[in-house]
Amino acid sequence: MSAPATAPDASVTGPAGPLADPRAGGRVGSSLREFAPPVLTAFLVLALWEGAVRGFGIRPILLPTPSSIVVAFLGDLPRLADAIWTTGRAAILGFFIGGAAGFTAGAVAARFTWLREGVLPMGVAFGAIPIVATAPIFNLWFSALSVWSNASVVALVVFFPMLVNTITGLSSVAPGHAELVRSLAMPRWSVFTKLQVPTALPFVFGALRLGAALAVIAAVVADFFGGFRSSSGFFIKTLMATADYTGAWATVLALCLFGLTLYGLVALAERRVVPEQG
Amino acid sequence: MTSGQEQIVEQGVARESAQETVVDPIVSTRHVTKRFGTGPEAVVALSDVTFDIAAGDFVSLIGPSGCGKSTLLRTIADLIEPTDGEITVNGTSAHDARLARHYGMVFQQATLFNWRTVRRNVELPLETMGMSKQERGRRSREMLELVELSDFANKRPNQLSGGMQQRVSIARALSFQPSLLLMDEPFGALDEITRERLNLELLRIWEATATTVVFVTHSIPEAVFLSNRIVVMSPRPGRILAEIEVDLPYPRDDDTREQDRYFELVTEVRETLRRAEAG
Amino acid sequence: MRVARNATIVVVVLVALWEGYRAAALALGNTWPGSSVNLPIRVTGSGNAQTFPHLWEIVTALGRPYRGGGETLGSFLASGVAYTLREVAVGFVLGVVFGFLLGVLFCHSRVAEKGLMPYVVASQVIPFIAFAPILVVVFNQIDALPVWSGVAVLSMYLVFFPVTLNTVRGLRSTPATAEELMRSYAVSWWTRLWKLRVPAAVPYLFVGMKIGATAAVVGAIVGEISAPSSAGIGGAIFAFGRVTNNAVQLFATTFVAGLVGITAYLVVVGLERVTMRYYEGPAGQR
Repeated sequence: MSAPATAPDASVTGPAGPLADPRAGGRVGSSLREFAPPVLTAFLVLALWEGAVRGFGIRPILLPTPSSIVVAFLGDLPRLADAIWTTGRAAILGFFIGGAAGFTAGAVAARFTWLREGVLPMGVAFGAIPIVATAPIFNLWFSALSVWSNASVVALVVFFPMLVNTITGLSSVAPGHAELVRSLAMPRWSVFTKLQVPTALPFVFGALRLGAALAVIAAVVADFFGGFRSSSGFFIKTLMATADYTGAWATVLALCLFGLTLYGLVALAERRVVPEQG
Repeated sequence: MTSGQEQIVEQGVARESAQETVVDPIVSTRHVTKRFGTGPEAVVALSDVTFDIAAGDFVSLIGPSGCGKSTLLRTIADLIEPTDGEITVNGTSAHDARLARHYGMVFQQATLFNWRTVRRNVELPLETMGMSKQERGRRSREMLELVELSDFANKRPNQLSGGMQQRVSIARALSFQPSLLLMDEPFGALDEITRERLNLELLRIWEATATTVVFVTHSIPEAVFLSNRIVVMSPRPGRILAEIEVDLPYPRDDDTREQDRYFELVTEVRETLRRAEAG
Repeated sequence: MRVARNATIVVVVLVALWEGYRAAALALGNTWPGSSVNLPIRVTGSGNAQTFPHLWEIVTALGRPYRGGGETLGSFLASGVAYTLREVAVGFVLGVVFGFLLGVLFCHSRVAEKGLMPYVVASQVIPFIAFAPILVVVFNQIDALPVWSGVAVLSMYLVFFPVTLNTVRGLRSTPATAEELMRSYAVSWWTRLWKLRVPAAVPYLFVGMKIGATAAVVGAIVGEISAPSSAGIGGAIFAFGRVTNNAVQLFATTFVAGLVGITAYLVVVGLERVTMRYYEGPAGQR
């Protein structure tokens, strides 16, 4: 494809998303200077929010105050924890299954050129389908009250970016390196483990970071389609229906914290496994 | 005598023997031809190349860009298959020699693995050969001492300069003590000053390890300074124009670059190349 | 074309896998061979209530009425698709515009970038989708806006991030020499933006838009599920999902939803092709 020389490689930053780009560096800055502006902005926004709602007398159905949300959050902690667990275990389960399956399929596809050329565009295209729409089908197959129905949706959602990025990463070995290992008469499996996999790791972790974000989203959406009454998504809908708006916001807050934690864990793992490559 | 000096003497003996063609050549090419592509648009990179390299030699392949010297080196390394002709390395085919790891290769780019430390980069071939951890450690330490980079064993490649990375690359190529070292313009990407310094380093390493070196370069002064024999190649299609003996004595140093005989040889090589361009 | 051939091969393989599993499960009585342990997905039911229908049955269900007598499933879904596409279009356009503007802002103001970028990233990590029910209800309260505006906003939110990120990257992708040239002409930042940076950013913008197209569809469908009504294709999936004896129609509806997603993506791809052809001239075509 003769796209302009400056255009990014769509198969990496394509439907998998910019979060999956190994160059995007989802790494959170560690120095204090990097923390200061965002934290200050946060305080500013929260203060404005609180002030505006109270000052303009905005109804809680539109926008509750941050303080009331926090109160509701702390007050309902046990039920919230249960809701997060119900949703979260599907997210985590699906994340690992989808990630492992995506990596394995990608490794197999990268091995054979004909397979790679067929699978890669398909993986990119399938990323265009709203996979979360398949949640009711999985409810049908696995029964709405099983963790597997939600976990399947999550696994599918995580699978495709992982597949695309694994293939891209494993294939991005520099020609100089390829010649080197030939001159050393390195056996195929060694080339895979010692050269291709380390080369692919930044790409794989890009997909994992994206997958962490997508997993929580997919799990919540799967909740929306029905299932456990105590699941977060279902919970939010119920709370909205019963006019408990602060409660709904508090649940959203809990989910956000969960999502950030999961993402943070993956980012931490990436720091340890993928050394800075200058 | 130190083991290094013993090896130099052995080398000297082998060299004399080679000149009497008593000992088998370590590398031998016969009528090697390489064509890329087919039909009228085919590019003939090498045409009927025949020459020998004796054990202990330091042979430079020199010629203008596109003369096929890198291609020739790669056919010896079994990274490219010749269209015609035969190559023998250490008594077996080039293919078997590669699988048996009879040579180490140094490329123009250092091609170190960025995710490994310097020491683990040097150990890469040793891992492939299934050596134990202790043995690997011992050898990599030895090699890093040889290239004078012991202090950098636990650093990463991106913390090293270009010249240092190439030294690691050389350490890696020699870590399993092959009898043959193939080098493809290893100092081409470095500045002149670093290059001259590394030339001296390379000669020292050569004398310490008694390897045979096949060195591809496009720098005439470098070729004359380093080698005991120069193979001059013509522009495409690559043919051997001349084999020039460099009779400057070893060990060589910076003074060698100022000797009259050095300039004579540089001129001789240059004229050979110029005649080929004109003719 | 090689792509078309590979696409057909993959489709054929998937169809074979589906039908193969169905046949195998039926033949084995829905248990693992040689044991009485159930297969994970069991093929049961008949007529409309099958849990694993033949693929052609799913497609033909579109031509049959979805309630006893009355309009076909296909035409029912068509109006749903139109409803959803309206949300997608509005959300997409808003998201692209907002994302582009934000990208321009970040490109020109380091302060804004440093202060807001972490939030922009975080905004995508948190499950914003959890806000969907809240958003939909909130916008319902605002009488001035149409009933589907909450969903459009949800779509917009999911679209703007990839567009912002890619806009910034694209605006900054100009080679240093071109920048120096512009400076030597002493042009204003506005001219430089439109004559140099934006044209350079166009390919990147399309990458962001392709991601955004998919995201917009997902946002629209999810928004519809959260809404009290069951309008649009998402609403249809939800409605069919709640009733237990019309699985075939559920499959057909999900299939249509998938098509909507692919269509949105292909529309952007087509737009990209046309623009790039104009951009580079016939010589630069793929």
